[in-house]
Amino acid sequence: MDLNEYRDIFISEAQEHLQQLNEGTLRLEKDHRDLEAVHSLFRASHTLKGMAATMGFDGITELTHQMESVLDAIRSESLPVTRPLIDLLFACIDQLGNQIGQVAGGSQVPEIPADLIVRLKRGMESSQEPGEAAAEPVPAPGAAPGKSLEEAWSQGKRVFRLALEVEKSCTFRGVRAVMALRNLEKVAEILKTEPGVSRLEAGSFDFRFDVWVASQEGPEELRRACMKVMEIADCGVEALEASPAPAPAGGPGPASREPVTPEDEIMPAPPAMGTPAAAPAKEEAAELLDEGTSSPGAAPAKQSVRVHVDRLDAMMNLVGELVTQKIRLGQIGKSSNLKELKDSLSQLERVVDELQDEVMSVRMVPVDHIFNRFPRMVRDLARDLGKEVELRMEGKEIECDRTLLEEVSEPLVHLLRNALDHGIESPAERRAQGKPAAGLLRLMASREKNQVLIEIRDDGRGIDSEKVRQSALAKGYLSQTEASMFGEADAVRFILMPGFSTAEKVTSLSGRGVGLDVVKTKVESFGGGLKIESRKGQGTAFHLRLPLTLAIIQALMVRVGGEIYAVPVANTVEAVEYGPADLRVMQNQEVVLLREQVLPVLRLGALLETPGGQGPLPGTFTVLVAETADRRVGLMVDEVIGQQEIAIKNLGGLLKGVRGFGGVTVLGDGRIALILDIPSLI
Amino acid sequence: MDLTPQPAPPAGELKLVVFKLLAEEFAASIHQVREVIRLPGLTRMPRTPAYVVGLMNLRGKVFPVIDLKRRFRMEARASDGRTRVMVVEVGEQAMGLVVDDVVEVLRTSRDHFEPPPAMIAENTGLYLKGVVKLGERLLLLLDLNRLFSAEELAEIARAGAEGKP
Repeated sequence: MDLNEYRDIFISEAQEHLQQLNEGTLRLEKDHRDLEAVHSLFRASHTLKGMAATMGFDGITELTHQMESVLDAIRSESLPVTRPLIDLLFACIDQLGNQIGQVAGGSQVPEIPADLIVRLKRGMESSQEPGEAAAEPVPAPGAAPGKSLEEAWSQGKRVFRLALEVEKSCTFRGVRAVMALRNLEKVAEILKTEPGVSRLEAGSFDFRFDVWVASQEGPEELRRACMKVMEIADCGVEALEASPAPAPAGGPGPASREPVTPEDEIMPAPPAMGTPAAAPAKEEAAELLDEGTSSPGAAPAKQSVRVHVDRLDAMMNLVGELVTQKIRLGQIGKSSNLKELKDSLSQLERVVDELQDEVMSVRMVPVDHIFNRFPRMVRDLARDLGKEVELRMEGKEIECDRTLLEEVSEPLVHLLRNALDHGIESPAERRAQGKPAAGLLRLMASREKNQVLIEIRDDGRGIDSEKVRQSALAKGYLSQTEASMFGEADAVRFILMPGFSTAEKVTSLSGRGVGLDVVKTKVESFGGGLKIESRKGQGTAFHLRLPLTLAIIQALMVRVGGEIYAVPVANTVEAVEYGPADLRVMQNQEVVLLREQVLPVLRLGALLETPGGQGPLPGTFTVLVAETADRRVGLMVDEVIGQQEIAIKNLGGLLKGVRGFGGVTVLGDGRIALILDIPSLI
Repeated sequence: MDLTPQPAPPAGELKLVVFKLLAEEFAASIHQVREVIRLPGLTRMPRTPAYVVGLMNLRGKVFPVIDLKRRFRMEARASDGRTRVMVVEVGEQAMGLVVDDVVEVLRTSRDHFEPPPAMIAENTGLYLKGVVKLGERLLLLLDLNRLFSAEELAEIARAGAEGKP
């Protein structure tokens, strides 16, 4: 089997399991007793192990195997959940992510750092500490302190290990275990138990436990003593010989035990690697996993196929062409008198529109696609910064074009980091201000007409306009007089300026001058927008506005010097008509007045070097008001022809580097119009 | 036309598209030429070097059109009824090349091929694979892959950036 063929499938499935591991560990961190989370973790690492083994990725196999052992120990409650253990699990998950990333990059998969394996094994050993505690003289109910195994041997007694099993359906495990111990006490001396007696009493073990006893009786008698107790399903008796190196020093810990759960209970089939025959098995596996992760409100598994994103893109392109041809045919139809043609055309229009909707919806994924990694990221950052944060996410089910979503992922990361680093205060500072120690960070997605809105809101200190003012003054962005009239709105405008940063210390997070302006430019580059709202002491909110899809956008078609260009509506605020007398010159800059405000204007014809673009303007002209990260500017065009939906085609490799254009679109009559990218154009 | 890249024809055969720039005859390997069309309406592309004459829409696909004479800094001449666009594929990039005429598609023996002579005008020298001598005729065989080097692409991008005031 050519494994390369299956590599992509492996990667995409592995990513999902990785996500489950992250989610499960986060849940376990919140609630150390969340056994559901442990089960889901176990399942995910088990599946991943199987997949990796099939593909021959030994590092991943080994690491997941060790993780499984640890998880199994947690599951059987022989290993307490502690913070260091959670951190270790996260470290393992990161390492797995790293390994899978290497596989995806096609490079040689590196060895798993040995120390991680060692730490995992050590984690297991520490798991035996409670066991060892129990190995000390057993405070068995009513029993005198027992003796160690060596002691028992030295006194010439026979030592047995009893492997007891309660029925799986048993409700009162603790009671049954204690009753079995009582019965044993009558015929034997209890040396120790695994897990410890207190755990046995609490019933916090899965259905098996071990007891070491010293006795004069034979194995049959011991077995009978135990089996008298109701719901004891089995009792294996093993006589232990004295050995020079006292064998049961640590006792047979869970590490030496095979995972209790039989494999086929978790995996219905060997890891399905996407061969057609294996597909139903995969379906099943997915369902099982769904149950396992049991995120509240998880939809029941649906029939689905994996399709490569490239194919979706190709489909989208074709639909774009179809839309163009539809418009063109529609124009021809209008000028003809053939009724049948017109009827047929309206049918065609309807079908094409539906097809466009369908294809677009296929490309849509819930924003959870990128949101789901944020809880982990926020947790790690908060820890690094010594802050307490609760991340609350809403609207995870809102859908957005996949490509677009991936584009917006980085800006979102940046904004979240920003909120953690600059927005939310340290717990002490928060308490001093009468706020709860843990900051609240909210990430909310919602849909509004043809746009997706994403809001990131923190309840931190807000933007300190005074600090911004000082910094702006110091850096020479502001004159003294301007500084005296500086308000909160101005502060918001300034922090969006390129290279402007008020961060006092350079942390690994932000403050390197790569700031919010980059985020804003990025969001604008795909036709979105960024707005900031801030109240000192109460918090900051970032509002991102995104188009539903990148492939088809609303654009204003404008005429400039005999040429036609498309301007994304998202890039513009409004269009205003002026006469030649309205154009004035201030400080060598052409300006117009817009509601009594001076608006600098640029001649689009000159920017685009259109034939005759440099010359005087004809009678009236229209100014498109555009907002970019750092300024508001008017673009002079001859005329706005209208607004329409356009399908974006990318410029090929040869022209990709040319600044100022976001692509091209084919007009109804077959002509090409360039799509202007305002931020890079001006 | 078959576009899949093929190894150089064995048994010493060359399959060429012969075209004209001014009075001179050039040739390109047929494997790189997708089709030949009449000059379509073009959309000017601002902020690019002068030899990028515009964008063309061919059955819904949009790609740049290059004026080869300008590219080789040859004398300009207005287009006429014989002007053609060769649609070529260079690497990943499809583009149209404006030529003065497409003469023929011919097969010829490799024996007629010679490496580029020293005296060939240096403007085209870099892009020349060699010459094909057919009796009195001399065809200049172009290497289209070299038409747009990495530096060239950078120059196009730079030209775009310089358009920025």
